[in-house]
Amino acid sequence: MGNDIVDRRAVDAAGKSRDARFVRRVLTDQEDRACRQSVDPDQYLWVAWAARETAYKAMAKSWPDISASPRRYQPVFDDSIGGQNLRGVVQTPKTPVYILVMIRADYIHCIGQTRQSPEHLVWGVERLFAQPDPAGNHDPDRQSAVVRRAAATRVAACIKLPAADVGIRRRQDQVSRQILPPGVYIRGVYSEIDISLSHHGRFAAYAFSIS
Amino acid sequence: MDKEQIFNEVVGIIKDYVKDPSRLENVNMETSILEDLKVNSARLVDIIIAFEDTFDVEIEDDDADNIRTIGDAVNYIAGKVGTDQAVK
Repeated sequence: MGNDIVDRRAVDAAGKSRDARFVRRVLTDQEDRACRQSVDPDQYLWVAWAARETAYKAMAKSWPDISASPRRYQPVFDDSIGGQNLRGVVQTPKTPVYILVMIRADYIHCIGQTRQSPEHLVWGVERLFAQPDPAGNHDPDRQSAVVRRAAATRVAACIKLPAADVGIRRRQDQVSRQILPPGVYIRGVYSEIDISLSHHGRFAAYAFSIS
Repeated sequence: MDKEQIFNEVVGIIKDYVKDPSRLENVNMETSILEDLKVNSARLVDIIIAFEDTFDVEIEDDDADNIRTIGDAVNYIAGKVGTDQAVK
C-alpha cells in the first residue's frame, strides 16, 4: 500500500499547472489537454500526481527497482461516489493499484493498495504548520518525526497497546544496503503491519493496514 | 566540460532543492538525491528539467528514471556532452 499528500498552498504546488514542462513530464498528452481545460488545473495536476505517487510507493515495496517515471502510471478515476472523494485505479508497470483520493481545500491526500479497494485502511492527516512557508523550507526531518509519532500512536490505539510500545523507522536491506520504506516495530520487533508515510508543506499523512 | 565540472554544476543545481544545507556537506557520487538529500519526488522532476537547461541536453523519461544518485546524473550528462574523465 502507499499514500501521498500534497499541500495545495505550498510554494512548490500552487500554480504549478502553469509549468508546462513539468506537466508534460507528469501527465499523458490526453491528461495534459484535460488539465488545461479544467476549471482547477492545479487540482487536476496534483490529484493525478498523488495517485501516481501512491501507486509507485505501493509497487516499490515489492519491486524496489520498479520505474518511478510518472507517465508509466495511468490513473483512471470513478467519480460516482461524488463529494470530495474520488475512487479509482492506477495501472502500473506491474499490477493495478486501487486508490481513494480525498480532495480538501488545503490538501490532496491519496491512499491506495493492490488487490482491493483501500476503504478499509486506517489513515490520518496531521497539520504541522499553520501557514505555508513562503520559501518552502519546512524542515523535512521534523515533518518525518511528527508523522511517525502520529502514525505510531494510531497503530498503538488500533492494536490496544501503549503508544510507547510502537515505533516506526526505516530499515536497510542487509544485502543490497538499499534503504527500505518505514516499518512498524512493536516493542522493538519488526511487525508485518503495512504502513506508508508522506509529508508535504504544512501536512503529514499516514495510512496502514492491520489485517 | 569534464566530470568534475559536471559534478559541481549538478550539485549546484540540486542544492536549491535541498531544505537542510547540512545534508550537502559530504555529498559525493553515491549520494541519493531522494533518500540522502531528502528532495521530494516532484522536485526531482524540476531538477531533471534544470539539468536539461543547464547542459543543453534532452533527457528522456526512461533516462530520467535511472537518475537516482548524484553519480547517475553526472555519468549520464557526461555521456551526453561527451566526456569520460573521472571525478577526482
